[in-house]
Amino acid sequence: MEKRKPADSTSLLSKNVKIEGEIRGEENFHVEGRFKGAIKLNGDVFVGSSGVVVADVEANNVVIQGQVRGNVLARKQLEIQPTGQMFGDCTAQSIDIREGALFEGRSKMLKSSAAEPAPSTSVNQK
Amino acid sequence: MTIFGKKKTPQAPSTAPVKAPAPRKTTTYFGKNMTITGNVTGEGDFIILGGFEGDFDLKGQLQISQGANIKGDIKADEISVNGRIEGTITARNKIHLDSTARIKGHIHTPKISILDGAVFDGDIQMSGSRPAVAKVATSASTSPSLKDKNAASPAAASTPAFTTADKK
Repeated sequence: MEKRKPADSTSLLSKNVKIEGEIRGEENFHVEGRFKGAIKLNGDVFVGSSGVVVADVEANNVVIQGQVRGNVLARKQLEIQPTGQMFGDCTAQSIDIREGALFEGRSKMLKSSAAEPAPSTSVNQK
Repeated sequence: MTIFGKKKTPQAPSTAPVKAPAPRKTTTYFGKNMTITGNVTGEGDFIILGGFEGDFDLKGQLQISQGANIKGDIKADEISVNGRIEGTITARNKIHLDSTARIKGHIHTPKISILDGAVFDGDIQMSGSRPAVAKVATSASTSPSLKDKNAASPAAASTPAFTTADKK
């Protein structure tokens, strides 16, 4: 049952670990530790309640329970949970901010058609 | 047909498919489709299956799995290698090279084990046995030299039996 999707594995940055730098990949990423730098993923980012991310984040879905400082681009959804704090600009297709969450910054919506590869790109090439 | 007296095991609570916060233990895990560039510091266990480039300093066990590709300075208490490493590796307690390990560079460790099939290009320094101590021991048998008394004072603490024999 684990092998449903190959890209479904989740990497975990645990509580007492700190990474400074850049992370790229095609996987989900669960942060409970500290991260500084940049995250670029084709996957979801989950910032747990002890997670502190000071970085620009680019991912499909972004869920924030901890703290994020930086700009977030969620190709699908950005969710800030009640304990979540976000300082920075966000770009997302949909936003879900729960009561109690903290968000300081600008917000920009992606159009849903922009995120999907448009099927009607039959440009006649000749 | 017989009646199956068993109830359906209530093993699938409806809330299951929500992201389970993986292992409770503080094991950091980076899958094979992830690449890290930069510095890693901290405590806990760490498993890498993907790529890493940079400095790494960890209080805990590090496991570099098969398929992982590491470049840089790696420091940890215990290191187990199944993947590729290029750079300097320092294990405070021990290092284990499994059969799929490929290493290019320096290793500092007090204890090492290498399995058949591992590839290791480089040099090892076993920090526990300082070359100075070994020299003193060999020179003692041949000629208890003069410089021993001057230079070997730090070594004297570690080998009291020898120094007392030498001085008296």
